[in-house]
Amino acid sequence: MERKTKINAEEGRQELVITREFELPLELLFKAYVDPEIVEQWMGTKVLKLENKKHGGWQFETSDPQGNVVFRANGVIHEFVPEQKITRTFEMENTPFPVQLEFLEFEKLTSDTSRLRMHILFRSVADRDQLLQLPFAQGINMAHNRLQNTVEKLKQDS
Amino acid sequence: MEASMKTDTFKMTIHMVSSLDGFIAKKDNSISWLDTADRYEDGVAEEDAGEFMKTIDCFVIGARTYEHALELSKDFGWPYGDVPTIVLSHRKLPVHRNNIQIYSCDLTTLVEEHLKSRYRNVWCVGGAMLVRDLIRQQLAGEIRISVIPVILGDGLPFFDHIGREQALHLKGITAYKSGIAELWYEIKKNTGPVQNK
Repeated sequence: MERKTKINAEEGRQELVITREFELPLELLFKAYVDPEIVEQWMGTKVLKLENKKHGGWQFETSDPQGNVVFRANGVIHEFVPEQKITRTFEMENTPFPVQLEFLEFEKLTSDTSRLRMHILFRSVADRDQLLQLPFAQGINMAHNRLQNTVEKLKQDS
Repeated sequence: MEASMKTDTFKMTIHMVSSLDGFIAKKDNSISWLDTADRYEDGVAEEDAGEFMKTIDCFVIGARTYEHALELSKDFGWPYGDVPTIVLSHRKLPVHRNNIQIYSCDLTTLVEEHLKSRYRNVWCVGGAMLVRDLIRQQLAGEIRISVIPVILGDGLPFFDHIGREQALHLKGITAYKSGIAELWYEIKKNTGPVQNK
């Protein structure tokens, strides 16, 4: 099994570039990031708020089966260009981990394929490296496989 | 032996990505080595990983692998989807999904009493300690290792002093255009007396 999601993390830098080519039309790939129902399905989280606009905010929450909150994340949307880009912040609630800045770029490759490029800036190299532990590369690839499968299924059902 | 990935009998596969010298992580945790610029023209293109994943009906992972996956899921999504995921741990860990179960029993009990009757295609995706114990106790049936074209020189070893000899049967080799070679082995059942751990 080869990883389709590529991760570029140069040593000593506080940034990370993640790219993935999906076998999904651009509009469906973009939907996977803006449609709350689809986000919930592939990310496995609950979307409390997702305002897809400049100055909008988002908040996701994940609970255990008993309803206790395991973690909550939120951020602000700085730029929102449909089917092109989303610039947003990401912050974990109630943790000392500093906020990070994320540039998401969506690109059409063919009528059936598209590319996602995530450029993420961390406050420090140490903050980035903390995330970059095993099974990061494998895990993010699997999460992206999940995205692909979830959206594909929606496409077939509709 | 059935060559297909789908079988009617229980199978536990160990899957890992490592450098040629057998490391799965660098000491500083940097992972840029996972994406080399290598190109092997005679290799095959990437397979449809999504299709492949659909055949896996259970994941087994160690506690630290789980904790890292949980961290990752906050921003990038939960890697193992709706597939039942079993975490081996003696510690109390936060569980955020119905399909995650924490087991603290020994591995043989886990495989014989919980996995064999329920699942067919179980994948262990780390970490190194769990892999070591599965091989030592002869509980895994196959190993799939993706070798990245790089020598890391130092880091976290994939095979951490297994402490016993284990015969393997080569089932297949896939060379990818990216220079990654996937080696697929069946772990042969040792017929002689089991050596000490």
